Amino acid sequence: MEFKDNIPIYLQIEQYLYRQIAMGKLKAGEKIPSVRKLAVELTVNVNTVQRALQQMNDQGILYTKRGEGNFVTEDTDLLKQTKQSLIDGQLEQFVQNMMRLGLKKEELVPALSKYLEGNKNERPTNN
Amino acid sequence: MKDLLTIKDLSYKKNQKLILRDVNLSLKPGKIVALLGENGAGKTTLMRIIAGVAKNYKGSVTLKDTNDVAKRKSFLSFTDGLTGFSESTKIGDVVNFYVNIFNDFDENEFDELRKFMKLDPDMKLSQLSRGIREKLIIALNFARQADLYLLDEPFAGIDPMARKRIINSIILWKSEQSTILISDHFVDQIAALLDEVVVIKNNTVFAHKTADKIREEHKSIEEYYEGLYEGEDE
Amino acid sequence: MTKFWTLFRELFKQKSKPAYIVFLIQVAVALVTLFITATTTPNFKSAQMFGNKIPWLPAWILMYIVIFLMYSFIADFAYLLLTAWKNEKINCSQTWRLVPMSDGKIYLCNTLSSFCSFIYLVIMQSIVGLIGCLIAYASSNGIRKAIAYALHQEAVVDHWADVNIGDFLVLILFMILLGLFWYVIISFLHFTSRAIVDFLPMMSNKFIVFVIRAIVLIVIVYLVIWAMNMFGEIYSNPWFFKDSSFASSFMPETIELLIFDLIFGAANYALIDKFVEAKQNN
Repeated sequence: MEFKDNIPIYLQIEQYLYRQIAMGKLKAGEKIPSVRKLAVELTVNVNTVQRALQQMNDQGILYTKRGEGNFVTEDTDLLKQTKQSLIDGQLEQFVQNMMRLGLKKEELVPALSKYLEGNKNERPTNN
Repeated sequence: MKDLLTIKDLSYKKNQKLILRDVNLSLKPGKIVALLGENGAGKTTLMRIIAGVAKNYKGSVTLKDTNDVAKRKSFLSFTDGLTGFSESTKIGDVVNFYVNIFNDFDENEFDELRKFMKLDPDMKLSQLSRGIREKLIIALNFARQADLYLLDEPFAGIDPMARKRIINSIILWKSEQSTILISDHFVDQIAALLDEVVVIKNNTVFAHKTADKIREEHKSIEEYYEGLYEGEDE
Repeated sequence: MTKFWTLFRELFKQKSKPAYIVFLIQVAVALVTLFITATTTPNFKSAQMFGNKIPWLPAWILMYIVIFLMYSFIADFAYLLLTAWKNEKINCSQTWRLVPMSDGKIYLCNTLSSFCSFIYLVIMQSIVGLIGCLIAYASSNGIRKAIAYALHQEAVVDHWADVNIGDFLVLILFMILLGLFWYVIISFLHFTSRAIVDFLPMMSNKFIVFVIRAIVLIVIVYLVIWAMNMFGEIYSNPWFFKDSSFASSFMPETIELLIFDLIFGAANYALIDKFVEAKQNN
């Protein structure tokens, strides 16, 4: 995976793992790959991965079993929250970009619905 | 945490030309640190002084609480061009030399590294391309259980695949407590690996910052590094 | 840290290889010379020693040994040059200087291993000489008779009586010190000129290096001659070594060499520890 070099890598690793969890690639209670494996997979420093995992441990999204590694929390509420905050984050970005293009708040929903309608007509077989 | 390497008030001249002055630098254990600077800035010289092969400097170099050069050499592993061997020497014989000379050389680990780098022990040094030779040098270095690895421009003149192998080997084989100092005049290739950045400019350590600090200021390491040279003539 | 003998073994390995090569060339060249001599000398087949006829094979073997040993001078000289060059290459090689050992010790180890590999070559040559002689002695009645005859000649017996073990040891000691002196003085020349070149405010261009080497060489020769004269004066004191035997008359030179070896060796040890850098190689 490619990292943006102007944002701390550990934050990007956190984001990456959040997304993996939100997309269901890492399930509740599942063991996540070892620090070293993740480091190689992402081509980053082991310390950086550790820092990211530490933060996620602190937030409770991960928990550590001694000698076994890190696991995704089984707290489904927390997972929902996490997913929601990811969605919120994306929406926030979307909204800001739209407003920069001059759309007003009340124009957003119609614009989006129109876009989705149009998409449906163009590529009906896609879903 | 205690410092692994401490350099105090280091100055070095050669042919009456100032190469390094008032260098102060401390590195902690367990870090991957880039040593950046233009060609001829003194990166190799600094590494050679740390490694104990450049002489007649002022100031002190302390590694793991010792100033003794012989002990220092036993704690560190410096990428060496292997020019002390004749070009007809086989890789296997170079390995034997390392096994005999360096007490911390782990033959099993070298074997793993050798397979990872796809090196053939029967090849002679003269048959190795630049990239393969560099891979051999890295494999020899990481097979040692050193506290400090000094990698002097390990990516110079090698292809992207070899570079990727070398970077992966750094991630895989670096032990938790050991520190790696990598010199380069580009940074983008290794940026994601770094804990810290040391920049040599104007004959001294011009900047020493953690990678996270730089990025928290919303700069990439490359931008930060290039920013240090802004306003100067090309 | 690396043990002295571990490094010694590695260095010896590096230097015994050229020793084998020199030795093999010597063996081959002596064979060729023997062949040429045999084909160009008309009465080569009827060899005689003190009137005893010797069959052709033992004669050839003896002849070969003589030629082989004569070539030893050239071979040994070539090997001394070769190892001195290799010695200095290793002294300034980053690969070797990174060995976890003090630079002075690396220097000592390097010099000693060069010298020992030289002795090793001499021993190989001696063994060839000895084996050849034994074979010749065992294979020909004529040779045995000739040797017996030679040993019974009064002059030879007298001469043998003169040789005593003390003289022999002094001579050996002298040769060892002389061999060491060769390596030590070459290193001294190399180290001093390198330290000076690194210090002078100019790029190390080849001509300047050459000039500096020449100047240093002249200074060293001058110093050695001066020291020898000084020693000469000391020895001329009548209370010094009154005994006139070979050993004691040769003793002053031996002591002189020992002192030179120690002084220049110590200087080299300090120079390499403090000033002489390894060559950059990457």
